[in-house]
Amino acid sequence: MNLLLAAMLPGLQAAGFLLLASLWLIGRTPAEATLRPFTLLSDGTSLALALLLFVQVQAGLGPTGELLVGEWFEMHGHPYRAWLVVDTLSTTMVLLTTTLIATVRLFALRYLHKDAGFFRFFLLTQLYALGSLTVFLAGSLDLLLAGWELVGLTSVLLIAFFHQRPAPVRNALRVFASYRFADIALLLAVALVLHQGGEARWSELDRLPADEGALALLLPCLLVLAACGKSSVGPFFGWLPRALEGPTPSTAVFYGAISVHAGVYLLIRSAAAIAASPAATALLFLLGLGSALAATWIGRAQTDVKSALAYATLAQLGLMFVEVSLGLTTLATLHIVGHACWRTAEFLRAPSALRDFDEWRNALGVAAAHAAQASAAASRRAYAPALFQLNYDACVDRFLIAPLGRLARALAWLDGYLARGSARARLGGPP
Amino acid sequence: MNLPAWMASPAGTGVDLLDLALLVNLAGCLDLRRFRGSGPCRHRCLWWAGLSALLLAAALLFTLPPPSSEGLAQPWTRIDRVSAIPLCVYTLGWLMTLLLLPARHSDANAGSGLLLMHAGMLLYYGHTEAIGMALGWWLAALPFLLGWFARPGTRERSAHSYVLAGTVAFSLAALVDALLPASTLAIAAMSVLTVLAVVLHKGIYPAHVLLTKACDMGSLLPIALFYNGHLGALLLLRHLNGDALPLADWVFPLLGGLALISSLYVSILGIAERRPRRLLAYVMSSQAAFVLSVIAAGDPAAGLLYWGLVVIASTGLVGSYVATESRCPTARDGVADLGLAVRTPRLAAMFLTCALALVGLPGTIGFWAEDVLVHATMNRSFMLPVALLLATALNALHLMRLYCMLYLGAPAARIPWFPDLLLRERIALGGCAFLLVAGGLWPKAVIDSWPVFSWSVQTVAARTAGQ
Repeated sequence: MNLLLAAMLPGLQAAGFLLLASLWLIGRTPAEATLRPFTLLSDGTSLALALLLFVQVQAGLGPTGELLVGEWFEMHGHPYRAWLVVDTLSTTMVLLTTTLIATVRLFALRYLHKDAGFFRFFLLTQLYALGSLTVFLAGSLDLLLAGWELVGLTSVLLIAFFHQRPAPVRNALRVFASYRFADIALLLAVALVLHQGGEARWSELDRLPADEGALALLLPCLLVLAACGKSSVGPFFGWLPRALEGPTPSTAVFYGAISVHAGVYLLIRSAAAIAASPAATALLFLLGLGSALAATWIGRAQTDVKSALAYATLAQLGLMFVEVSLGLTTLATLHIVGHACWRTAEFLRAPSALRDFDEWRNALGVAAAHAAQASAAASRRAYAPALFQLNYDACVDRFLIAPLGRLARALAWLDGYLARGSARARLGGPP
Repeated sequence: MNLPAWMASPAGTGVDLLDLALLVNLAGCLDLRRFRGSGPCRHRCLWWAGLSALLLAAALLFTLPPPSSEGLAQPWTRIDRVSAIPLCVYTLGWLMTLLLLPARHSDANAGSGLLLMHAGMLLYYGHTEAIGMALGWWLAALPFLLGWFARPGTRERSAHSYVLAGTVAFSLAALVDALLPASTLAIAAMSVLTVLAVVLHKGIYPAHVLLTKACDMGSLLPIALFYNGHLGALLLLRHLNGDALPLADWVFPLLGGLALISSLYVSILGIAERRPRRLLAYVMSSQAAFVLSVIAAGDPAAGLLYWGLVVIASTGLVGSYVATESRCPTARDGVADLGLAVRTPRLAAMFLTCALALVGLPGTIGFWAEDVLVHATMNRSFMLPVALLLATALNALHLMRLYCMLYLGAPAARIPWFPDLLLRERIALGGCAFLLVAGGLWPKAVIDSWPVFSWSVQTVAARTAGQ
């Protein structure tokens, strides 16, 4: 029963996505009036299934733990199997995901009414729901990776939702680059575990580090790096504020609620493997603490609501990283649930921020607003670096993107010599 | 006069279905040559192609030998279990190319060229001896050398001339094999010539320059099709299977290393590039180099899986780009974001699907191919998958950049109205997307349940282990 429920959750989303995409491809794009009941039915069913699964697990009914769905294929005698995990953590996350996605899509039915991208939004959020449910129900790292990449892709496509403007497209590309390079770490982690002859299941992950020296260090570090990429923490600090170009509902569900917390979920799942490596634990602690402090600092200087919310989210994510590094996984789980719900509400209210602020000022008086501004004036020296996000983007541009560009241009110049073609003439000389 | 050994029929079964398919292609080519200069003749070409594909399908279904045998010998050509999958995948790519060729390029010259190229490929795939393979290579390269794909008054023909160098190199290797006794010197000569042929055909560094130039100036779809024949990779598989040429031990590590360096090199090169055709050439050669690296790393199973992915996904990718370029010629310059998704949303979706499948999108066969590739290369060295993943990440970025450049942005007012996917494009690109997604959702159907695949993999893997 539990396995069936768990398999049905992403299965329904996949079927919904394939149906919508097929209709669109053959030129029968569903109208808003058709899409509304479809969305309500799809989200309502998912929510009911998630609730039922949660109750089943809490009541101790049916099997729990890692459950085998079937075999994808076998190569060289190594089976690639589909495992789902059904326990308190996964069902909590699934219930949270289905609830928040249903809420946000309900909100979007009105918010995006008559928008040119109405269908595109619902098609992409259907794919996103499939990806996030796969992440939280995956019983092995390779299945998690599939959902992980789908979440990343839909995130990028929704950032570029208003693609007539250049900024969303530019920012979507930057976020895509961050995701792709962070995903390398997760892919390598999967390959490392498979290389040991395992199946990359969570239970095997916990056992592995005790056996292998180099693996004990490398694997947790790779997992921490992958989590940083998804949660915009540490070396991938800069992409979250750039991701707010999409429509408000998608911003709420991706960057306030589910997507950014997927990194923390990965850390909680692999907490035992990370705890076995002091180096990885220390790295996690430092990255989390550093990100929390930096985000709090930068957030103070933001002049628009969405950016302030993004940095507030980053600060909380940093704290969650710290909690996991200290072994407080239950606290981190509660933190995810509370923070996701609160932040979703905040992001959804963001377009009404001015009105809210006026009401707040009317209720508390002008003095209260001035008092808040006075504290900012007191720390004027800290203001400039915070306003420029501690020069994070400038550093990435200068020390990563510019050298890569110079290298590429130098190679193109070399190619010009080889081809005696247009490249040399076009570039004029060595960079 | 006795027939040479490679043409003799051990089984004496007479003309078989594969030979018939080859003859149909040649007859179709001659038939289409009669209509030169009389405008598009796609229907006539498709008729011949359909007949040839049917014969080939029948050949695959009815003449495949049981798993225990070494292949069914026929008078001229034979389908064995090493060439069956590549041949199937290549033929699918060929049919898609025929459908995707823009109307203004689907004249008798291009049609006969594609039929002749397929005849050459059938000959190449259907032979285990080097001389027969060389003949097939020549036949497949002939349309490029004769300028059948080039538009009159352009420099396209000169861009295709690099094909000649690879063909000559392999022919010389085959001649050395046929004429000289097997000595250390002869094997060394054959190895050098084979490496040269493979490097030139696959656009491996430094030959990537020639491939890029050909893609930039020449007919993109036929070049991609010829490239997707993966003649060099099949040659290596044949060698592993104990056929084709005897090669020195250093050939595999050298080609594997060159392919790896090349894939990383061209993916870095793409950072400074904005012109779509060159970017596509870089991505295609970088991703296809993985096939060679993984076969050279001793895992033909992963290589074959990636081979199938590259052929289908890159045909769809190049096809959707060519369809875009034929609608909006300014796309070729890559100077500004065109915002074409507003006018051709389905074409944009197909481009994105094929592009992302090529770099490992979950839900497509690309995801599993990447997973298996990384797993396979990890067995050789830790740095190998790191390099391959870096190249894939860069390629993914290039493709996303290209997608943004072509389809996102504010639509330019000066671009006139044009239709979204035409029926023939829907069939071809829809077919591509279906194969990629179906392979991703049911990889078992592609990998496990296909006895052809498991047989060829087992055989070749056993030989690799023996080496």
